Amino acid sequence: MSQFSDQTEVAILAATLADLQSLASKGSEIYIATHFRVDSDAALAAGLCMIALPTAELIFQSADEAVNKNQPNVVGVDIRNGTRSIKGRESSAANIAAMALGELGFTLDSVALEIVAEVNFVDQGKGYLLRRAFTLSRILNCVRSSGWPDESLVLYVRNMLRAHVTQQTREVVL
Amino acid sequence: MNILSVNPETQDNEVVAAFLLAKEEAHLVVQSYEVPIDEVHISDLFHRRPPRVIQKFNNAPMIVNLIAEEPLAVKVGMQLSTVTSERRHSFIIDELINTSSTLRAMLPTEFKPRVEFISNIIQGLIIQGEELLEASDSIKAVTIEQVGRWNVAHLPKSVDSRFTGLLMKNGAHVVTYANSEAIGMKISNEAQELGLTTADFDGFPTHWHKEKWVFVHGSRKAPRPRQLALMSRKNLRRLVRQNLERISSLEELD
Repeated sequence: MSQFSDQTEVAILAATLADLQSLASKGSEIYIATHFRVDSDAALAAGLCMIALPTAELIFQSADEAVNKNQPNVVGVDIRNGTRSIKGRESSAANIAAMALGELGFTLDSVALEIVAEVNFVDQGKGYLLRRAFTLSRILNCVRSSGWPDESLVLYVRNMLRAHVTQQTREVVL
Repeated sequence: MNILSVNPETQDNEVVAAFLLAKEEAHLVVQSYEVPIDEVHISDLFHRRPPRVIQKFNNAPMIVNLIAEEPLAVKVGMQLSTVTSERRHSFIIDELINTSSTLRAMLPTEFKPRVEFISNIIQGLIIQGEELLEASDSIKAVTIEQVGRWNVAHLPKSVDSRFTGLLMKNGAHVVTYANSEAIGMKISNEAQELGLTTADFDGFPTHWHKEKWVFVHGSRKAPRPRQLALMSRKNLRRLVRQNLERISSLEELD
């Protein structure tokens, strides 16, 4: 398994999200970090993480900075790989986030999965092969041009995705 | 303050409403079955004047008729025209009228927020149309050099790196750019299909982002002065030329 394979990154993100869920349940402040000038990959990955961590706040930083153990209440998506941050080197950060949510018991419906697949395609430079005028990337670019800041873009994506992501409840057998 | 009245059964009522909101010709939108299906009415809040009636006059959607009266930047932004004023079919208008896949998922279901969001999209498209026209004017004088089998062009300093596509449309396979914010090189899709990848290039600093299709340093994602790359605009061009010459000579040997 390479250092930045999808499986490694999913494991890092799932473990970090679980850790932050536990911290949040104890009342700690938690944060999701992504890069300035969010693109569709960053917005979707951060939006999905916000669904798993509803109390988390967003922070924006350079894509070249990682999140490491010295920031125990932060998870980073679509930024440099660190012990608590993922980039999605093999696929995309959104794909890693979707798989990590799956590990935590969340289910993405076909609409959400299609958007993840589309962002994955765009992030790999193959967006031109998609037969659609409006990819998430173009939608976000347009509303950014009309004046939306980074935070509003991520929150909007989260709000619109919420209906497409459900959490499975675990049955407890007594 | 102007109020726009649209018939909910008009095929493109949402897009027309969003467009007129984006252009600030209307400030509020109401749906009314009293408005004929092939018309939209704009009235002022206090009804001091008779309403302005916009009528559909051919088989094209009403939004296309509306944009036909607008300046080139609006037509370019809405993709009804190229930067050289050639008319073209707009797939974005098709998709705004008949939403599908991602756009459908990203639009609210209620009329008012839905129209407001589409209006934001249209505002962005118009602004991007204006930027594209400006960039297109700025690169008219750029020539494309032949280096072995690859065409290389250099984006003017004043033009944002995201407009590399304009040079690629003119036939460039590789475009270099260096402005106050970013320094890098982009390979066209065509060149990637022909087998050229960033992995073929030697001599770039290892700390640069090494994506599948682009080298970039100090992008908007990671704002840093380009001086940190310790590479001048001239050196970037030289390095790219050297690499392309080497790759071309290797291909000849094969």
